[in-house]
Amino acid sequence: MTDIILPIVLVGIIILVVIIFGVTNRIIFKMATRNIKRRRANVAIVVAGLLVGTAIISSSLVVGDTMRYIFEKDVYDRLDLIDEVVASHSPQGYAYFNYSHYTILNNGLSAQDKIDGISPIIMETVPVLNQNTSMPESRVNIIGFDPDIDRDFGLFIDVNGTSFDGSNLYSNYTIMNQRCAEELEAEVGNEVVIYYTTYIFNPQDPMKPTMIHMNTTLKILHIVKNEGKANYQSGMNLFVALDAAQTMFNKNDQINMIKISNEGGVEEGVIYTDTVKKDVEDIIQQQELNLEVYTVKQDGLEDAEKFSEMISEIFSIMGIFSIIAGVLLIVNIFVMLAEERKSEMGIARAIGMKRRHLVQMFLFEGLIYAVIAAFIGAFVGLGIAYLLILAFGTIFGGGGGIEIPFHFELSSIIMAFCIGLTITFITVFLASWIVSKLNIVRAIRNIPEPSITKATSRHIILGVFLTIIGVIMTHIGVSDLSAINFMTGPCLLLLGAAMLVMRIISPRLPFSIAGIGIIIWILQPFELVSDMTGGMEMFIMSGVMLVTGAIIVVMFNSDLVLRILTKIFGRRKSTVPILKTALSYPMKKKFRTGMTLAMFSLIIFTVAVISMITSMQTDYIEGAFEEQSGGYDIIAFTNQNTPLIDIRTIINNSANLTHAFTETSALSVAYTDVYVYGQDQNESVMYPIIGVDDEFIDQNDYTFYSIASEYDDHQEIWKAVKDNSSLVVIDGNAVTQQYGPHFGSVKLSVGDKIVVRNRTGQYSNKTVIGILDQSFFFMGIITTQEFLSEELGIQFPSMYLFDIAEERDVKSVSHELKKEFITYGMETTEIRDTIKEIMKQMTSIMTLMEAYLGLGLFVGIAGLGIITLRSVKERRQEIGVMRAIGFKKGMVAKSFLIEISFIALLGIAIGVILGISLSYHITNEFYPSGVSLSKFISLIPWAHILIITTFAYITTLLCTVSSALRASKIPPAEALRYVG
Amino acid sequence: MVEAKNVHKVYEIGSLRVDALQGIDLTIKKGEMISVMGPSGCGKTTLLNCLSGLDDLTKGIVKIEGVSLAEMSDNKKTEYRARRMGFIFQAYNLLPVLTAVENTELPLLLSGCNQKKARIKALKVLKLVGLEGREHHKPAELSGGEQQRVAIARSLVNDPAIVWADELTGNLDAETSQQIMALLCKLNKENKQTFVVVTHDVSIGEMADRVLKLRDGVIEKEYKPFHQ
Ligand SMILES: Nc1ncnc2c1ncn2[C@@H]1O[C@H](COP(=O)(O)OP(=O)(O)O)[C@@H](O)[C@H]1O
Ligand SMILES: [Mg+2]
Repeated sequence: MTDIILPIVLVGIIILVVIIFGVTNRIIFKMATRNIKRRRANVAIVVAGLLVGTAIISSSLVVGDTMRYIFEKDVYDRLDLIDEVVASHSPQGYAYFNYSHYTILNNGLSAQDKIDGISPIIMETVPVLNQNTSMPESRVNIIGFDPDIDRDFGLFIDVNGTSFDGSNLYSNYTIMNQRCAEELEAEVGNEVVIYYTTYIFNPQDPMKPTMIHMNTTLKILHIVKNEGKANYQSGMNLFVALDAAQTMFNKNDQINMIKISNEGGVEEGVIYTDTVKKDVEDIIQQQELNLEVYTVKQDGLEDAEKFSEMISEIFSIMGIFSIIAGVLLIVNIFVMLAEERKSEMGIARAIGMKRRHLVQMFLFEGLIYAVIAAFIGAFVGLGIAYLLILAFGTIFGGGGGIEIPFHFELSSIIMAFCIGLTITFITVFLASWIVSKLNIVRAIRNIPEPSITKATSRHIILGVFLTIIGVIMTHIGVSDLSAINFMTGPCLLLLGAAMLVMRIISPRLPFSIAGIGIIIWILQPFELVSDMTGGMEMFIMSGVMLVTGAIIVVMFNSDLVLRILTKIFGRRKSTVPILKTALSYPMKKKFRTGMTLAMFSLIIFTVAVISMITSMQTDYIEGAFEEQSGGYDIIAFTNQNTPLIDIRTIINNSANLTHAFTETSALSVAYTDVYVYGQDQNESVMYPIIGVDDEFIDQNDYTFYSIASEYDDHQEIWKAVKDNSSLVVIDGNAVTQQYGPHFGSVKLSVGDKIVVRNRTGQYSNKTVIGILDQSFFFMGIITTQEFLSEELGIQFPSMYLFDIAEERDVKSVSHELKKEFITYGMETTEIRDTIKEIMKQMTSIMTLMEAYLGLGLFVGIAGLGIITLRSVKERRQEIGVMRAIGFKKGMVAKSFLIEISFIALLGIAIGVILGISLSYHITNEFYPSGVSLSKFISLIPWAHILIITTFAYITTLLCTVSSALRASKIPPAEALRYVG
Repeated sequence: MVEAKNVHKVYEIGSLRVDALQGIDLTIKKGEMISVMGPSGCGKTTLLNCLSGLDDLTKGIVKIEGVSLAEMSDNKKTEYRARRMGFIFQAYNLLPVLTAVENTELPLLLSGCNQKKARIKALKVLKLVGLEGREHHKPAELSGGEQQRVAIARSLVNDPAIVWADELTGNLDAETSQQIMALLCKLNKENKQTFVVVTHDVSIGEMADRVLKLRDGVIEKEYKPFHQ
């Protein structure tokens, strides 16, 4: 709530100041409100145009709210009362420690009143089989607990709603949660077998430990609801008595975790995390226990916050285009309002009104529009967010769709209202300031402002300012390799220089050069930015700059555009007069034309880029099979608690599987702390380390995003990885992308060094010599199996890659594998199907984004609607004259429609051309090896773009046709009548 | 009251140059009623705008009540207009959103007058110009003559030292024009206010005390009409 205080205060101040002015200057306030009433028909369009910005902000905040709510709820559901976990981490999970550690901690913490529960636990994840139904499940949590102690963490609730603490749980009995029961089709009284392998190291030959396979049969005593502690990790859970678990896993007198609950309930306890953590750590240090404190609840909530903020940010960043278009619309509206009232304003100034009075008048008017628009917009945003969430549910829910609980905070709505109002108000203020500067004499006489042909002192100041900023940004960009500065700087420089040169020569040439220069610079035919860093903001900056450049070029060469168009369309003699009049207006009112064009092209630009990216992604699916699959059909993981030592022998002995595979690679996986060399060790993340076997080295077909220049091909890379454990390959999640968000946890390029922690806590450096394209199926730093066994203590593989023989069906082999290796908890993924599914989701997300961006179109359409409404009004007399000298009704209407079409279609054309051009640039980055022009052209989704632009154009026509018809009905006599 | 010396005004539109005023020397005394006449385009409006400080001079000096316009900031000039001057224009004279009385009281409010007093004064002046009963009509609801009367009322409401009127009868029929001009003359006699009336209409112009004939930006001749 605290973060909305500032905006509320800000908005409060704005409104208060305006009201104070209004009270002290009632007459001006009166004029403002009456001006609104005078233009009642306009109000709806103005408000509609203004509310889009607020709606965008509001929807992105509310999407964030829902996401945060879901993720936080997940954390609470998963952990219930647990706030911290004390354990000893090893590369394969939680390591066991002596029960006495618990006693020490418990005694040591008895004085800490911020703790209301501390309980010793054994937690293992194992494969389980229901003997009664033969249903298997590969990942079931066996949780050994002491019912007397664990009562502090709440009770079990059975399906009838009776709660109990499980103290009647004798060995060989278990309490199962419903989630697990459903999977195993289990009922009370069923017997389930759990599989577990433990091994004893042989000091002489660490690669050949003695394996002890164990299986234990448990009888289900209760099935309980997935609530409270029974829902631990939202997993499939089996609860057994602690001593039973110790026997089961052959860990007498040992446990592998201690859970702690802070004072307060599920949600409140987290505030004591830091205090509790410190106290626990003090004891651990004093007693030299080999334990660590994991602040699971706090970390979970932080991640929830981070992730929801990221999603909210993606939407708000995407929405910036619409917001910019909205700002242009506001400026346009106010400039037109001012034009309409120009002579009034002149009179008012003549009889003694000051410039600031005019500003105030517009401000009052603007504030009233802004308040209405922001208010409605905030709620429209709520509606949009609801639709987005609904769409999310459909996209991620597979066939049937899942229901995502829609959730919003009032503070988000208020926030959106405040931000929207502030943006609108600031824009209105600037626009009012500009339009209130008028030449009284020209205003009274209603003479158009002379076009500027020479730089005034204002231009010089602005020019110098832009030039300096441009130079500074370019300099920063070059020195810290930030793409945004490096790309924006020269653009500002060009604009500034054009303004300065205007002092000497007429503006047309310098501005045309600047405009073209900006476009060329942003489209970067010379690939200067390849190793710079930038994100989503690059997309926005590129769009804004490209459109600015294009509009400048068009507006400064409008006569040329006009001549070309007349030449093309003016073949038929009868259309020439219509065409001439229709096209002369937009070129006469350059400011509003430029603004409207900018709005249109900006939005169409974004939509074109997004549809281009969608098309690339669709096209990429085929390529994705190669890049993501590495030539494998199935990826499988076994449970680390039931290691499979020699999968090949078992396969060869299995009738169903023996000839199913052409390749089988077994990889071991460990998790350890990793950080980028040169960065703070505290920033280390838990990252998987994958140890590969010779078969993988020899046979895999994974493609690389990039490889170190010393190596000629993939074979050399893999050979280097095999021979030298300090050289590694990393998965594609580490790649930094321009123009897009980054989801991976580390960002790396080839040649970077990373630091990896081994099991004794020592760190060693590794150099990344290759980055894979593969990013869907596993994350990991790829090295040799030797490194994993020697440094990380992982002796056995737990990840498998299978290449299936031509004639075999992937699905059925996958099924066979699961069945065969059930006791090892094998889980399989069919690579091809999964890629298809992921790509389908990505495409849906892009479509959603496109729709979201398309909201901005309404701004453009509203803009043209207002212009047309206004044009009909201000041209009444001229239309009368036209009618008098022989224009037919239809010709008047046609001339209006041509004028509207001209602006809309030009805007659309500029947007599409720029969008496709930038996409070419993005495509080259997307496809690591670049893309040929003909390939690129084949990727352009013409039909899709045509549909969208046609929709935009037709909607525009529909919104303006009534004005055009009204114009055609103006009687010729109108010209002769004096309008006062 | 107003002193002008060697006033020049040049308009430049691109490469085109219009010498609208070419060395005007003029003194307007307090309480005078002057009319400026001449054919369309001779520079009447330009002269009025330059003398009243609405427009800047290209060359020369204009002093109003002893102060040079060039020495006043825009805000100073604006305040001065609100306090000491009245304006009547040919068209677009009134603010369409305000009623007759609101239009009339506007200069008073702008020069910081108390609202109640402003209203009383405005109603009084409206009565003076013969608009009793129409005070709360908006301009669109008034005839052309009535609108000009409101404009006159507005120009008088702050007891201005000088009133500038540009083609104030330009859109009115002959009879109404005569009535309006007679009203101005009456106010001039009774209140000793200075009036500068620009017109191309001889019958209107010659109702003034002194007539300036303008041609191509210079004063061609100056005479007292013979009704006096
Ligand atoms: N803003 C302007 N820009 C250019 N020329 C102007 C402007 N205002 C007036 N003029 C020119 O100056 C001359 C005098 O105009 P004006 O004072 O309006 O004449 P009058 O009021 O006597 O009809 C005319 O030739 C007119 O075209
Ligand atoms: Mg004139």
